[in-house]
Amino acid sequence: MKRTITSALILLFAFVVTTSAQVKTSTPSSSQNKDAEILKDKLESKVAELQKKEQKAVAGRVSDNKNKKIALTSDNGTLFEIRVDDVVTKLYDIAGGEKDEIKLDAIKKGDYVIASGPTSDRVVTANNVYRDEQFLVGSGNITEVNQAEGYLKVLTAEKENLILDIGITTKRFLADVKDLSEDVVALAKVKEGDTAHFVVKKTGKEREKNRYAATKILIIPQEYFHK
Amino acid sequence: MKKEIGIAIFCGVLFGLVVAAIMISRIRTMENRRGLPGEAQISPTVKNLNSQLQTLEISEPSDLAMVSQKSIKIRGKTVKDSLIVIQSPIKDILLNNKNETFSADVPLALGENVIVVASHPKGSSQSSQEKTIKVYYLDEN
Repeated sequence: MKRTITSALILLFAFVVTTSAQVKTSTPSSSQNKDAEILKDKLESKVAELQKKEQKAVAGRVSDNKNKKIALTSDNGTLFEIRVDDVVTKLYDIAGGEKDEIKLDAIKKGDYVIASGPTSDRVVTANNVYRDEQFLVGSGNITEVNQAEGYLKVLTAEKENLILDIGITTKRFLADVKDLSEDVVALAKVKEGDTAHFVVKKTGKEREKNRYAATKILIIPQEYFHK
Repeated sequence: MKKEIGIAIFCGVLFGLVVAAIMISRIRTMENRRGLPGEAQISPTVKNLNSQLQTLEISEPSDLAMVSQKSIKIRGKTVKDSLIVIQSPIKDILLNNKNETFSADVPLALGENVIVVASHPKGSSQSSQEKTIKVYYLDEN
């Protein structure tokens, strides 16, 4: 009987010791898991934030496209390498205002391309690549109006002489500085000395240097500057 | 004899010093009455020209900004009472700023948006100014 009671007591003691040990070990492990999860979440959000900060968009003309790498030269002559990944990178054509998915081999030398993604030292790991149209926007003083050939010569603030071809599709406006409205204007009404604000499409295949087909012009009459 | 010569020289020097001191003090009082010539030239109607020399500044958005919405607000500063032309490939905006600051909502096209902000102060006394920024509207959702 005594032996039974002793063995029962030993068993009970062993049970109590193991249970308490389990309780002691299980409580910190669950809180540690929670801490680890919070830390993981924080790290993930920090990484996402850093990735967003590193996300940049670069644009330029394609000078080469091979081995899933697009060489891009920006307007200021900076050369970028765009790395294209089969899975991650999406390629679109947005030139007509619509967004259509395209294949990498559709991007040719001379195309104007915008690439976005994490950028480091002129290398863009592209998330998205867009084939777009390039526009040149500026203003200058009109130095010649040629109605017969339908062009304007403009001297910009950077002392650059541009020839703007005015065609049927060119939107032509004259600014009314009194009520800040715009009226459609004929080339005959445009005078030397007026200021032209212009938008031109840059194709990279212009037949003459500094000569562009104007998409839109807005004329500020010279009288505004002589008041 | 030598003693008399020494006294005479001493008296002469002393007299000269007294005369010089009187002349200097008279000149100083006359200058004080007239005021300093530099001060006399200062016009009381000097204008602060700094306000007229305000250069065109665009505070928002930053150049090469990437956005995911179809329009942005352009904010900036220029000479007050100027004709401001904000031009992008899809829209022209004409403004007249009564204060130095100006702002306008500009719609964006998908892709690269070259936006030129030009400020034309009234009259020919001040020259026009122009700033160009590029904003990328990339619908990446």
